[in-house]
Amino acid sequence: MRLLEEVYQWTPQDSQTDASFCFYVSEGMKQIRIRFEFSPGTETDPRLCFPPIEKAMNRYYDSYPRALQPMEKESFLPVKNLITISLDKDGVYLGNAHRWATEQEHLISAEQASLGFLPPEKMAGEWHGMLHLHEILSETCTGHLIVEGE
Amino acid sequence: MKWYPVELHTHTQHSDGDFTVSELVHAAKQRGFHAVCLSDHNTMSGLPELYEAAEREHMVPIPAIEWTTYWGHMLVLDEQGYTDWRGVRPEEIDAAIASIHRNHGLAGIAHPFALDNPINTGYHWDFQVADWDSVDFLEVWSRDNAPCKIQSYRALQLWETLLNRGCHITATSGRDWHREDTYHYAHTYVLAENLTKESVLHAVKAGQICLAAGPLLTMKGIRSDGTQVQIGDTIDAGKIEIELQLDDETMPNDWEKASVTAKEIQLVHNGKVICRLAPDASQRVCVNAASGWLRADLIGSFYGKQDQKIALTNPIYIK
Repeated sequence: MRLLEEVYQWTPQDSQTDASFCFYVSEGMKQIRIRFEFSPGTETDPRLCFPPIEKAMNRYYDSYPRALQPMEKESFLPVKNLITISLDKDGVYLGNAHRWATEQEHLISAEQASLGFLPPEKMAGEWHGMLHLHEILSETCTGHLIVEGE
Repeated sequence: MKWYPVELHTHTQHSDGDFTVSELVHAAKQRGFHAVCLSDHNTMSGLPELYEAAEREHMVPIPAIEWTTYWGHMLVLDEQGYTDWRGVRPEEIDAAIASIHRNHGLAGIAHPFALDNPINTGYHWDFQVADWDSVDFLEVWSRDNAPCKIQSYRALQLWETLLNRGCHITATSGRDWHREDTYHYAHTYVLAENLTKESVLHAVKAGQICLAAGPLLTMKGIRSDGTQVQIGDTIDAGKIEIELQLDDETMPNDWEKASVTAKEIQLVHNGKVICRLAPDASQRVCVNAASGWLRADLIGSFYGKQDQKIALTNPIYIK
């Protein structure tokens, strides 16, 4: 049974912001399945990638000579967009799937949970979650979140 | 009292590491560590496995989480309860650290000058700490090749600025270990009678920690009445006898003796080198110390790079 479906479209201005979501699990449901996809996962366009990479490098070197630790901006390509999911239930933080995967599936029951999450005390009730947009470098990035109860 | 190598910064498949928890603990044991801290990004879901694996491998487990935010990464060790990392704004970090302390946890800044977005997300420390006395530790060395990186020079500079301001803040090294590799890492050593979670956390809090990328340099002070002070302790200003020990038999499975060689020991007092000594295995030297802090550094070569800081102690504080 589908509990939530959200479609997102993000731009670089959405970087370093959170998107909250919530859904309700009714009594008797044993497990939830969270599927989240976003695209693109990486960005290679030098026009988009090099200015922020150079900014990061300048910030890193500060006033130190670059020869002390030479780096090439090309070595940081492709740049990854990074979006992760966190969950909490009944005011208890369950964890975060802080990983790079662009196609994620998380199964959670009261007995076990996918890597990154702890099982909740009980499944039924209101659940809260957040998508954490650590980095969106692509001009547009689309996301699709589906939560199903089983 | 004895010096034990411990690793305070690691990741597994519970976040973005390749290690399973068992693989991580086994790898740490093989390297020669006695304790391993699991600090996955924004999750503690690996801790039940950590306790099981550590018991199997006779290792001391240290529970932790790495706050992985947009404004910096912070290692939170053994918090009894939970302070939410989400939504903490740069100007709110002092309140967050106070909450962690109320829950008996320790808070340390990870890799404060690492490459930032879009290369590494949130790695550069941008939280606006007002009360630096509340920060328990600062990871001045991070990941591989730590002695030779600009981020390490900058972190050491920040640390010295804070020490000169009168803060007692512990310097640590973090492997930030995500997977098996053959890179060259530095190590954190804690001083303890018996190694337990509590003694590791005490050493972190008390500044009884030395960092070494090869030979281990340790220091203690001897008062005029013959009593000893350890690093992290406070001693009265005046004449102090300093005992230095250099151990190049430490962690033999994790560095090459021919590639990390000692050239000189330096005593650093309030940011200035006051004494240069040969890298002998054991020696004592008398110094006249004013109020502030006194630390020992080992200078040498690190895999081809000369005149690097290859080991350092935390300071003895002087009043």
